[in-house]
Amino acid sequence: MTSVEVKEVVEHPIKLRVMRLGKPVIFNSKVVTCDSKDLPGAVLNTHLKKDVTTLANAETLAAGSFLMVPNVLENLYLGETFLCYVYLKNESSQTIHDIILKAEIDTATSHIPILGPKSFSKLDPYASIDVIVKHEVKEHGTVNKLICQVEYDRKHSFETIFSYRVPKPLDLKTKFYNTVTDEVYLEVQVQNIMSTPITLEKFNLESSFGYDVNSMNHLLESPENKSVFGDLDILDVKETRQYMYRLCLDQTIEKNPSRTNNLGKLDILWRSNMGTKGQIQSSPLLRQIPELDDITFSITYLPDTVFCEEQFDFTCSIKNNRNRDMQFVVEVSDEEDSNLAWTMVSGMQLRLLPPYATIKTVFSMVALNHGLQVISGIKLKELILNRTYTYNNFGHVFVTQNS
Amino acid sequence: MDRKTPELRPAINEYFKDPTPSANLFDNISSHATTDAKREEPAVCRIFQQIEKKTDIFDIINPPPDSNSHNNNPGFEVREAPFLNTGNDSVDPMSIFIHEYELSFVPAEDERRRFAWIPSSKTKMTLEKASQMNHALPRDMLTMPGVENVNFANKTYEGLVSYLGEAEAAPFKTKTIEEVTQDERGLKMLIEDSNYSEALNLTTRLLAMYGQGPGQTGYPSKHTKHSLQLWLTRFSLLVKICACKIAVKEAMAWDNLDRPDLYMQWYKELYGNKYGTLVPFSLRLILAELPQYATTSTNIYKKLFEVLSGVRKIILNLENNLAEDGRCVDLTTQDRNTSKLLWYSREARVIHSIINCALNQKDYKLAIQLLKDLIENPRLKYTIDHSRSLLSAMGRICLQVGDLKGHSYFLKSSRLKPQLLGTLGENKADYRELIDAALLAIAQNNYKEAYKHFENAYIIDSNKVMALNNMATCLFYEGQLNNAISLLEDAIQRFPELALNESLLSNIHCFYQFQNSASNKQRLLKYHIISKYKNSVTDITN
Repeated sequence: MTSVEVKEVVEHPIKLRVMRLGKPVIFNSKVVTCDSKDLPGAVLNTHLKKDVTTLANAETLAAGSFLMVPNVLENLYLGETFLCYVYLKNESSQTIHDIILKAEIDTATSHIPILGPKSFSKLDPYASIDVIVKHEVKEHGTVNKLICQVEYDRKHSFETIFSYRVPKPLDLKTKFYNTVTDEVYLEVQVQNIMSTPITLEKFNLESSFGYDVNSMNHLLESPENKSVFGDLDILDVKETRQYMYRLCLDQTIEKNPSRTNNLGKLDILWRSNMGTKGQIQSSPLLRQIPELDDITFSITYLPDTVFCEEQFDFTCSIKNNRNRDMQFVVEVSDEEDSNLAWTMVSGMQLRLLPPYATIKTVFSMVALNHGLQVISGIKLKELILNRTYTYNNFGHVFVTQNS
Repeated sequence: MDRKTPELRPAINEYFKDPTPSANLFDNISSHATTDAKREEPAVCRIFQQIEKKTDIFDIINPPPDSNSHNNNPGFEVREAPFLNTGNDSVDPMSIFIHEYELSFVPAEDERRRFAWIPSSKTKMTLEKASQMNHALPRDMLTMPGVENVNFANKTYEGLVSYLGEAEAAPFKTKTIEEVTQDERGLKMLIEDSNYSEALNLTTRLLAMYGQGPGQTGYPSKHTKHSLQLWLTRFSLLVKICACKIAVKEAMAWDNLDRPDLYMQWYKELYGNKYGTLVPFSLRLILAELPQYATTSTNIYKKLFEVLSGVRKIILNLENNLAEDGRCVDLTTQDRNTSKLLWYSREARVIHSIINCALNQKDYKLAIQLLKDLIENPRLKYTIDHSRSLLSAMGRICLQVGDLKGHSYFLKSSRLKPQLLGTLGENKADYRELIDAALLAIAQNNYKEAYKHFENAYIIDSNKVMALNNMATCLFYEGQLNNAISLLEDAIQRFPELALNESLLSNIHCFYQFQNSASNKQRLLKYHIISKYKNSVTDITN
C-alpha cells in the first residue's frame, strides 16, 4: 500500500487529495568505512562524516535523526489513530466561492463525522485548504472509508472516498481456573500479530466490582517489582507473552457480592514506530461460574505439623450461599482406623447464620499415630430444612514425635 | 516555467531572521529544553583534555586529515550561503577513545598488527605444511574470485549540461575514467570526486590484470595485498551505490576469507617470515555485513559474530602477553598498547555493524542489548562527545520501537554536557539536546514543539540540512504542505552538495506528488538527475 492515494475528479476546478499519514521514520544511514591506510584512504570516512543522515561523533552507528515521511505505510490497526491529510486545491485561475468541506468515517456499523461541515468564503487561484483529520479506530474490518465531500459555488459538489483496512493488532487468549475457595486464576496470552515490533506500555487487568486482582507478573524477590519479562517491554512480531492473575472476591464487601461472571477487562496500550500509539480494551472476560452448594465449608487455619498424642486445634469457616437463614449443629465422629481422634463436644449448636454470612468454628483433635493423617468425620446438620452435609477427607496434618 | 506565486514560497529568512521567528508558523509558546547550569571546576579538566590522546574508530593511529577543504558549496544560482558550515573542528570529532598510551609508529609493527588474523585450525595445519606441499593447494582450498560482467552506467557530464545548462552543471563536474591514470591513484581520484560508477569500472579493469576480471570466477589467480585492496575498494563502492546483488554474488568466492592462499605464511618467498592475512580488516567486515542485503540469507548475523569472536580472540591474546595471533613473541609495551588500542576500536566497530544490521532488521532487542553493553562496559574510556552520542543513539532506538522510556538516555546524555563546556557552560540546550528533545516531541505527537527544537538546532549547528528537512517534516504533519516544500527547496538551494541525497529527495518527492503541480515535476526531475549524477546511484537492472 502506498502512502499516496490520489483521487481526482477531473471536471472540477478544485481538486481534493487525501493521504493517510504514518509517523515519520528515522532514516538509517549506510555505513561504509575503512582504515586510512587502505586504498580509498580517508575518503570514504570523510564522505560518511559529511553525510547529513549520520549521528555526529558516532558516525558508524546508523542511528541518526534524519526524518522521512514513510514511503510504505504500516497497516493501521484497531486502537490506533487514523490520521489523514486532506488537501483541497484550486487548480484554476479563478477564485472559487462558498466552499463547504465535510469529512466522515464510514464503517460497517456507523457513520462518524470527523470534520465540519466547514465553510470557506473563497479560495484564491492556486491556493489550497489544508486540514489534518484524526479519528480513533474503534472497529476492525475491511470496509472502512473516509468520505470527503466538497461543495462550491452553491451548485457544484463532489466527494472523494479513501478506503482502508483495519486489521487486529493483538491476539488475546484467556483461560480460567476456578478453585474451591472461589478464587479464579486467569491466564492471558497476548501475541503481537502486527507487522512491526511494539513496546507494551501498559497491560492491565481492570477487574469488575467485587474482585481483587493480584498480578503475578513480577519477580518475587526483587525489591522494585521487576517484571518477569525483563527490562524491555518490546514484543517482537509474532512474539507471545503470558500474563497470570489471581482474582478473589473482595472480603470487605459484607453484603452479598453479586457473583458476576464478568471478571473485568484488559486495558492494553502499546506504541510502535516513533511513538505511534494504540490502545484497546478487551471485551469483558466471562467465566463459567461453578454452581455453588448451599454452603461453602473450608479450612481457614490448620497447623501443618502436630505432635503425636497432643491436642491440636483448627478453624473452619461455614458460608451460607443461600438467601435464607440456616441453623447448624456440628457433629463429629471418629472413623474406623483413623489415627486422629476428636477431642471436642459433638452436637454443638451454632448461632443462626443469616443469608450469605460466614461463621467460624474451632475443632479439636488429638493425633494417635505418626505420619501424614487425614481429617474426616464432620457432619453439619441444618435444622431449618433438615439437611445434612458430610465432610470427609478434607484436610491433612503431619504428625511427628515430640522430642 | 516556474509559475509559482511569491507567497507560496517565502524565503527561508522569513522563518529564521524574523525577531519572532516561528510566530507566523506556530502560535504557541514552547519552552526550550533547559538544563542545569552546573559549572564545572575548570582548570583540572581542561589540562587533562590536552594531555589525553584520542583515537577514532576508523583508524586509531592516523586520524583523518582535517576535512575542511571539502567545504565547497556549489549552488544552482550564485548566491551567498549565509549559514555556512562554521564547524569548530578544534577537536577531531571522530575520536572515541581517550588513552594515555605512547603509540608505536614502527612500520613493521604497524603492518603486523593491522594484518594480524588467526587462521582456523584446518587452515593453520595447511599453512604449517606449506613447504612440504610445494605451494600447491587442491582446488577446493583456493580462493578464486572474479568480478561480475557489469558496466556501471556512465553518466556523462554532457548529459547533465544539456539538462541544466553550463552554469548550473559546472559545480557537479567530476572526472571520468579516461581522465585519470589507470592505477590506484586514478581510482582514488574518482572516489574523491564521488564518481563511484567510474571508480567501479576502473576496479574491473585493474582486477582483470590479476586474472580476476569478468568471467574469471573459479579460475586460480594470484592474491597480493594490492589485489585485496582493490577488492576492498570495489565492495565498499558496491555497497555505497546499493548494488548489493552484485556484491553478494562476488562475495561468494571469498567464503570466510580463511583459505590458506589469503595468508602471508603461504607466500614465504614473497613475505619471508611474516605472519598475518592479506585481507584488510575493512574487507572482512564489509563481507560480513553483506548477508543482510541478500534475500536468501538464513542467518544474517553469523558472519558478523564470527568476525567479532575473531577480534576478541586477538584481544585475549594481547592481554595474555602473546602476539595477536597467539604466537609467543615479545612485543614492546608501546607496541602492545598500540595494538590493543587498534583491536579495541575494531571490536567497537564490529559491534556497531551488528547494531546497524539489527536496526535494519528491526531487531530492536538485539540492538538495545548490544548498545547497552557498549555504554556500560567500554574497553577504554570514551570521549564525552562519543559517550553522549551513544546515549542519544540508545534513546533514538528506543523511540523507534515506541519505548518512550528512552527519554532517560537523553537525560543521561544531557548530564554529561557541563563537563564538555567546562568554564563556558551555559544554561542553554545544546544541539544534541535540541535534536533529542525534538524527536521525543514527535513521539508524543507534538510537532509544533519538535519544530521549535529543530529550528533552534538549525541556528546552532552545522548539520543544517538535517534540521531543515526535519522542520519541513514537522510542518507537513501540521498541515502546512506549501511551507514544507519551500523549506526543502531552500535547503537544496543553499546546500545542494549535502541536501541532494536520496533521503531528502524521497521527502520532497512525496510532497510534490501530493501537491501535484507541473512545475514541481520538472524541478523534481532536475533534482533527481543531479543527485544520481552526484552520488552515482545506479539503477541495477541486471
